[in-house]
Amino acid sequence: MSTLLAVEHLSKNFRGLRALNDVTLEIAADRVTAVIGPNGAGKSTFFNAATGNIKASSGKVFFRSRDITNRPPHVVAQQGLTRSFQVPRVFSTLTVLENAMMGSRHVFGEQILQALVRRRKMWQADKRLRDRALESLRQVGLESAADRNAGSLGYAERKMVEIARALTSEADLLLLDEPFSGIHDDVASRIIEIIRELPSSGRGVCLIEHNMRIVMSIADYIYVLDHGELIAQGDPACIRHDTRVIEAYLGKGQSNECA
Amino acid sequence: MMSFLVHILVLCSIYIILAVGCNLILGYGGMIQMGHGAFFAVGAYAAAILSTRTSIPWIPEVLISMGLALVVGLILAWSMVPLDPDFFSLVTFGFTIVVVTVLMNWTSLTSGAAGIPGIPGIHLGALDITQGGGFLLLAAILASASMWFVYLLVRSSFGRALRAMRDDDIGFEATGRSAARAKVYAYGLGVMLAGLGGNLYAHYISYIDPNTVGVDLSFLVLTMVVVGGVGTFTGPIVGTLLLVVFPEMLRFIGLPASVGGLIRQALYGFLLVVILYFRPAGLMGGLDWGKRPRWLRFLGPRPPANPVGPDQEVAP
Repeated sequence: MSTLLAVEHLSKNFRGLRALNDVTLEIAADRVTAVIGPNGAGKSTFFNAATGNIKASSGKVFFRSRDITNRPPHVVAQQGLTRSFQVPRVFSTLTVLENAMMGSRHVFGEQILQALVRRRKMWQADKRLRDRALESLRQVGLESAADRNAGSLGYAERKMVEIARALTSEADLLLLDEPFSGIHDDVASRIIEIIRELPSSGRGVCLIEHNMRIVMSIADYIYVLDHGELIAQGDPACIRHDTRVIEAYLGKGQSNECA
Repeated sequence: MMSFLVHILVLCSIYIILAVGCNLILGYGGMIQMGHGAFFAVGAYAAAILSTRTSIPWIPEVLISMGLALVVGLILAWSMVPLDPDFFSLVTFGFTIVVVTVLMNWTSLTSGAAGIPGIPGIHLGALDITQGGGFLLLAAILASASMWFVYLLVRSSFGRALRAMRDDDIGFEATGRSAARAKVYAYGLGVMLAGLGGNLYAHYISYIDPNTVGVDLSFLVLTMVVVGGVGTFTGPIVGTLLLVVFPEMLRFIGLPASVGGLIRQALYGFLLVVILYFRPAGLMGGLDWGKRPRWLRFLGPRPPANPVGPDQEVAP
């Protein structure tokens, strides 16, 4: 197992609230990892602290053994760690295709001098990138909307745009924050397939998900957070029967017979 | 009459240079720019001081004007990086006032409120370009060059990234790009054009004082961009033509000089309200390349740099 992201004793306090408490976990390249937990368990906070969107109070984050703790988000992304957001962050005046193209971070022509004087090379690079982005859009089923403004899309389609952007990226690890929320079942099964394929093409995936049916079908390894603490980890079969997990979701007094 | 027309066209050219620079910052970078007057001042005073006190040729002098505006702009933009975007307009506004105050009080360099008279025309080798047609030609060439410069920037991967940053800076950073860097570069390049406009203006009018370069000018340029259409390529040009030509037309309706100026100000406000009421995205909002009528298609080959403003439904 090759570890991409290693988090050690990560904590985050929002004033009095311990949103993350001493979380230590590892995310591998060759499998789909899921982070689950009840509302307010600290799942999104974990993502935000790992990618530098918020500052961790204590603890360390390593990506490919390099310390990325509290580095700015764009520096983290440059290391090869990209993410999607719970509320999708699309570029609303760009077309869907342009949104997907923005996933790549090695774009010839983003330097000012290249944009001014190397126009031919820029358009050639642009065309290659366009093909790659179209392929991502085809995967998530948005190719027919390629020329629409992303701002005109509905919530579910925006989520797909974010996934297409992540697919176009060169990142080694994708952190997906609730990619299935608000998504129709047909589309969801398509996305499940895409995500399941990613580890075999050498890219790690970690996702936050609420829908247990999807989690059980998609994840190879699951971490369970509750009240900011890591309460369980293991493969789906093991998590399904873990008493602490059942308690966290359903409350104390529920025996695991009904699970 | 002819010389009056030339005068109007020269002013249009200079203001177009300012407006397209402002549009790069406001329209594509999403930063509310109230500091254009300050960088116009930097360019104009650099021109005035260098050409009245030294015998430096015009080409290096204009490069100094632009370079100075660029450097000051980069520093100002860099200092504003940690700020919430809402404060951006306040800081740039304050910066304009600071610059005007410095110009007022640094009398040994700027002659203070008296201004600097007697700025010579532009000498290009053997050519002596001071007034009239020659100056118009030069100003028009530089205005076209500025438009071309901004066109190349916004119709490129750089422009796409800039618009993406404007739309959502957190999403932008998640793709591995620095929003701060994009903002600083866009700001620096935009105000560099303000420096060029200032340089031309000083040589053309041959006199410069702190009152012609301050807050009023910042707002005039901002108005041109907003009326024309923020974030559209053609908008600032249309807005400039309208706001330069329209007030001059009032001269011909024979108002006494005592009320003429006041009526002009009132009509400015009226025009602004009417246009923004009926076309909130500006005159050219949504009419930039791509969605324009067929007979205007020759203006642009490929579809669009999109305007800011309410999300627009575009047919798939």
